Amino acid sequence: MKCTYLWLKEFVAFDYTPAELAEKLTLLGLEVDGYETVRRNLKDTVVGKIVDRKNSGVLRMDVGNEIIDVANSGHLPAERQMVVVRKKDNKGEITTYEMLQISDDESAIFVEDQTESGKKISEIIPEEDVVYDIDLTPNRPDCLSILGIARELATLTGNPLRLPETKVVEVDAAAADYVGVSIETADGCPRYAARMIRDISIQPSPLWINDRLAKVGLRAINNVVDATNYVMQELGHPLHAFDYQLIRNREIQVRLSRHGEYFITLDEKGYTLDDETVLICDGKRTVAIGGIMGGLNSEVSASTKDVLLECAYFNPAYIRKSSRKLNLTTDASMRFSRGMDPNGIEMVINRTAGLIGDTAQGKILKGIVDQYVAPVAQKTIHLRSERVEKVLGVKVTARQIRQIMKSLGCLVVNAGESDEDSTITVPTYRPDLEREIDLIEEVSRIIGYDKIPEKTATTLQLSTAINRKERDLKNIREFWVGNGFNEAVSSSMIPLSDVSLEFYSSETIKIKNPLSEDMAVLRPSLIPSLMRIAQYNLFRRQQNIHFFEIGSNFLHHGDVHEEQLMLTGILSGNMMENHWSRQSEKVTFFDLKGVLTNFFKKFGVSNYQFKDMKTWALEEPCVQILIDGHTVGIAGRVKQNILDRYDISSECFIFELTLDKFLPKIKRERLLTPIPRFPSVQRDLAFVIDLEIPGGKVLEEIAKWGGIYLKDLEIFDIYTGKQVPVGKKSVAVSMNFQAENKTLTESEINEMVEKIIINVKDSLKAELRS
Amino acid sequence: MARSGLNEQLAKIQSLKENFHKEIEACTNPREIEQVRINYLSKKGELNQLFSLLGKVSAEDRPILGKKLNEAKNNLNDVHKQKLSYFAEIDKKKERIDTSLPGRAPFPGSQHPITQILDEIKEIFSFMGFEIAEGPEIESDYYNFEALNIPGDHPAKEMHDTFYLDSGMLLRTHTSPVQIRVMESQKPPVRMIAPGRCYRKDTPDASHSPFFHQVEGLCVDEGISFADLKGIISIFAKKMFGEDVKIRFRPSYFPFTEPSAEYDFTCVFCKGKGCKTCKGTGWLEISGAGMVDPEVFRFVGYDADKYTGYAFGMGVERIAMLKYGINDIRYFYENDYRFLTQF
Repeated sequence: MKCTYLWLKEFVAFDYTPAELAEKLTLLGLEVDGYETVRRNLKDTVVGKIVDRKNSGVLRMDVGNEIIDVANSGHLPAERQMVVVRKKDNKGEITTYEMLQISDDESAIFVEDQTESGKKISEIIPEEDVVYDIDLTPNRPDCLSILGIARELATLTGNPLRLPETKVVEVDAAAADYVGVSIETADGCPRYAARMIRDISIQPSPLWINDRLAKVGLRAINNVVDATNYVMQELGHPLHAFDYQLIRNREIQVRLSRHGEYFITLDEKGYTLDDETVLICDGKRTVAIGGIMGGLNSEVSASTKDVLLECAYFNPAYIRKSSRKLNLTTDASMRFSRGMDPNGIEMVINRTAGLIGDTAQGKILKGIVDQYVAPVAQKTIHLRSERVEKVLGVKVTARQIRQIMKSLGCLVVNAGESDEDSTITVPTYRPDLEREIDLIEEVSRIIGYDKIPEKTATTLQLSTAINRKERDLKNIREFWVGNGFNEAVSSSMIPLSDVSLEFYSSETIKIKNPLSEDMAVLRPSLIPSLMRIAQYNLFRRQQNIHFFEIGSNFLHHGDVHEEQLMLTGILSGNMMENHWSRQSEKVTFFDLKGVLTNFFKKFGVSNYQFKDMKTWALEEPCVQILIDGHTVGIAGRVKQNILDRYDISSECFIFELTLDKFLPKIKRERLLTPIPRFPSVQRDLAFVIDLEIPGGKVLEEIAKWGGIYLKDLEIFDIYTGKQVPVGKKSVAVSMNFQAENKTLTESEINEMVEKIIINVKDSLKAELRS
Repeated sequence: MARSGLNEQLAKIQSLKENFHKEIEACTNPREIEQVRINYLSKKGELNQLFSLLGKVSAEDRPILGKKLNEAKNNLNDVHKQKLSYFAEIDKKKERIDTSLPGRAPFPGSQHPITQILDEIKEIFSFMGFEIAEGPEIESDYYNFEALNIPGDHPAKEMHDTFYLDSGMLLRTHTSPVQIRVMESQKPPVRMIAPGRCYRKDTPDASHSPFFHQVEGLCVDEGISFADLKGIISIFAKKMFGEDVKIRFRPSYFPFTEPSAEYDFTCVFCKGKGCKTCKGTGWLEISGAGMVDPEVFRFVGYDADKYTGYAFGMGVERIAMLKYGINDIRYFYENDYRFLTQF
């Protein structure tokens, strides 16, 4: 909603500077988005009277105290005498709307014939005004007008509201003899009022109307349409002007549409209607979609002589529904759907008729043809002072409350001076005030939110639960950051082409109304996100990629949506920073597996397994990760075709864990294992086994046969080459034996080692390497 | 053997000394020094050979020659020792750690600024007795709108450009639905915050993103008032941006709160004096808040006459941008290494 400083001043007195006004409005809840000073260059610009137009190139003009030559730049209609000119060195120039920056219209500006020549234009329109852009909340339709905003300022300042002149000079003929109104849908249109204005002359509007409409962002069309727009801006209520000659059978019927009806609006677009749209019809056909837009068949044109002026009240619910169904939002529909004042209609229609009468020299016929079939009554609300204090936390006296209510235009009924509670009757231009709480908000708004104290002490229940999930997630995040990973946060909406269709075809959730193809589906996995991050950074010459992300993935199984919290990580490039003292090593699968193993240990998860498998994203061999026998994730090297899709040329290693499955496995309780006091003994063995046997099997087998004193076990070398037969590999293992209650003897250890050797040889067809 | 003259002997000593000096000077490492020592100072070395001639000079010359020989021996030993310690010194220097060279380390990790700010917000409210709640990102119209007093075609829906799914579900436009879920599941008192990801169909630019993070706060009990809301926001402002930050509440409209407010903090860049960031007003818009609308209590079955409560929201990106001086919201989701490693 736009308004201007001077326009507001017409309605209420105030002495704020433009900047102060912006702040006051904002603190009233009418948030000023911005304001700017609009200047019109009116220097030496006056009204000129054409006294001689014989010479087609040069006009002689009376500009008050002299007659000057004015270049005739174009066709000037013979009937217009008074033109706006700008004086320059004893000559003059015809001034256009474009020159005054009112619009891009390059035609001359005419003023009324009775204007005196030589009159300064700055006496007609201001050289300077300030335009405010107010970001109104949808609950305040009353403030979609100069009047409504001025009313707020009147409440704030205590100054009276000045309403515009709405007395109408009527001719004898009665409007009712020219048009009859009937309403079939009292629910959709509780009130319909019409006035008749005859013998008008369609012209451009006076300069002052043009000037103001331009400032509030409305395009001038002609004096009749402009008058309806001007009054809509000023008083808030939309109106519509029909060409009376195009209204058949001298009648207006308001009814609901019939299913499948077709109608062409004045912007030449066709709509097929449902059976719930309020229509304005004449005796034969539809002439407007009520409260939304007029029809092409009855709009005011240059040849219009008689105008039927409509000012109606439509039920907001009907307008909202129709506007949404037709996908047609207009200034009028926006206003009606938020709620106009059904009881302000006389003022609005009279003000508009008066303006048209003035600017189009029309004759206003006697009376308003007014059908008010479902009167809207004022609401009465009970307001308790004690409740005001309870909600606001500040004491406001009953007297103050009643004062505020009155200043808002409410009536206080049945309340004595000493009564704590009040009964309040609310004006119909405030449809947002329906309940006690709505009035409490008004009290707080008018006293000012700054008058409410900041209370910083309270009584607390001490039973607040510790949020374990939050704590675990924080620890998990810290683990990965501590291990050199950069945390990423990326979009949950990804292109369909990022999704592996063969894998997720039926499970991927599509967005019905996506912003773009790039954000068409919800990610079924976080792996595509990490590939995008790797790509982004690799393309910017960052070759070492260590990222992780914690976020949701989305899948659907039939109608059931599933969101799971995932943890995903990616490694590429070098594992360590470059340093002159050593060779940089490329990331391998073992770097990824190593961090994951530490991750499980850190969170007390011991029963984990890495098991070979196949999956869409990873090159074989890759692994699924199991905890207590249940799959919780995958890890491995990203497939070449996926790398190609992102133009990535370096190897990438990725893991993805379903945190929702991992979190319950976290072990929080720890029990100390005593630190052994007796010495440990180390023994090394190397087994030669078939290449195909996983090295991990050797560890498994040793652990199986090692007995209770085998405490530690690790592979320290894997060898293939000349020293072992072709097709074989040597796995060298170091073992630690230790007892908690004694020093192990040489023979005890030999016995244990011997048992290991025999069994490993047997189960893995291994040979001991000497 | 013929008796040699004293002078001849003394000359030999002198020449041995000079040769030794010359040779030891030419040594470039301790191994060469050792060779020179063996040549001159060992049992069979040249100096001992001169000593063996001592018996062959006259008794009166013997003390003179002896003295000279001993002097020479001391001198040679000293020079040898000096030269050795010179190399020892160099070795020591070589071994010394050059502390001016760069250190070596694994890559430093980094936590994303959004989750850092979220951690900070959670910490502040946890200290004030708020529990942390969560809800799904895919929501129903009921939780996202209807139960928050935004029915069917309410004009307030225009403020939320919503992404819909084929199933009729939607991506939550705020974390306010968690309010409803929490109140449905427990009786007052309620003190909770709900952090999480939200979605709105906004074309990305420097200040808009189609997804973003929000923290919703809710407190319901007997005797909770607007003054409590102002208090909590004031404490939050000070903990987050510093003790000198002031707050401002101004009227606004949300269907699920009444009275509703927008709250502002004094501009963190100009301390309220007025600058480009705050458009000269001295205030920065933070987010919305208000007293829970009785209609919302009706939806969750709370007694609206007995209980009152407040709710507030805050945009995590907005706070992070103010805190870290970030002027483009898109930086957060690009995940550029050069951006992330600054936090």
